[in-house]
Amino acid sequence: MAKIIKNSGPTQKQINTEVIARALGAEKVGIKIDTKQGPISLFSLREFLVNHLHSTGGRPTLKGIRETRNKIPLFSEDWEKLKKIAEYYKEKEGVNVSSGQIASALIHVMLK
Amino acid sequence: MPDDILEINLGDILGATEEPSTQQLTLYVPNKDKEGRTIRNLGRWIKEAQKVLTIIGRGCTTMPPADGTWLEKDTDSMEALKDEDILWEKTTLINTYIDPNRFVKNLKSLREFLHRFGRETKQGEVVFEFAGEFFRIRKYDSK
Repeated sequence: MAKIIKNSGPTQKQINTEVIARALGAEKVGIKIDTKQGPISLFSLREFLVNHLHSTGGRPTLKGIRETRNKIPLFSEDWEKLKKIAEYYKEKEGVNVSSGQIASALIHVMLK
Repeated sequence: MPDDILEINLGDILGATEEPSTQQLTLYVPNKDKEGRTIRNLGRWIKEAQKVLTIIGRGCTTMPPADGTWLEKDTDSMEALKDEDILWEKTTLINTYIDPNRFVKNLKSLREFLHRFGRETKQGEVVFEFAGEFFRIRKYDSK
């Protein structure tokens, strides 16, 4: 197994995001995604979902998805995060998407 | 410590002269207003955002414009969603790793810029990311 390099040196102090929200007159969207992808995260995921979800009358499905469903074991905390992300998109962005579809989208983008 | 993690002081090894910053700030600058009209002087706004982030992080990186969307109408389901409910735009992302002291010192300037951008370019909302969290501004400070 490849080793993970972790920086053990000192880092600069951290600024609290609550303080930043107040100082800038902004509201926090309410979820945090632990991502190593950098800046795009929620924005690009929303774009991906809007471009790939389509409905034929029932629940929207992701275009290009396999018809056969795969059983993928998930860690409980990851499933909770996926549920929160799906709730966020439903409530805040108006995108009716399931936790499983979020997982599919993230896996697809990460493996590209 | 698990066997698969190798702890090293990267700053020492690579000869970095300062402690690394771990918090990233990203501003989103779209090319359209909330009505779908192209913003005039977009380059000036982007340059101003770059200047603010350069002060905060001693430099910044601007990504090429990306395809972006904004939900114009308050629709909450895919079944009710129409193409005209979505504003399609080109968004420029500008990011920096903050210097904490400079960030705090320049919060007022950043707020002034974000709110003025939202107000003067008639944005439905102004969004930014900080430390992996997503923020939005919907009510702008008056002049």
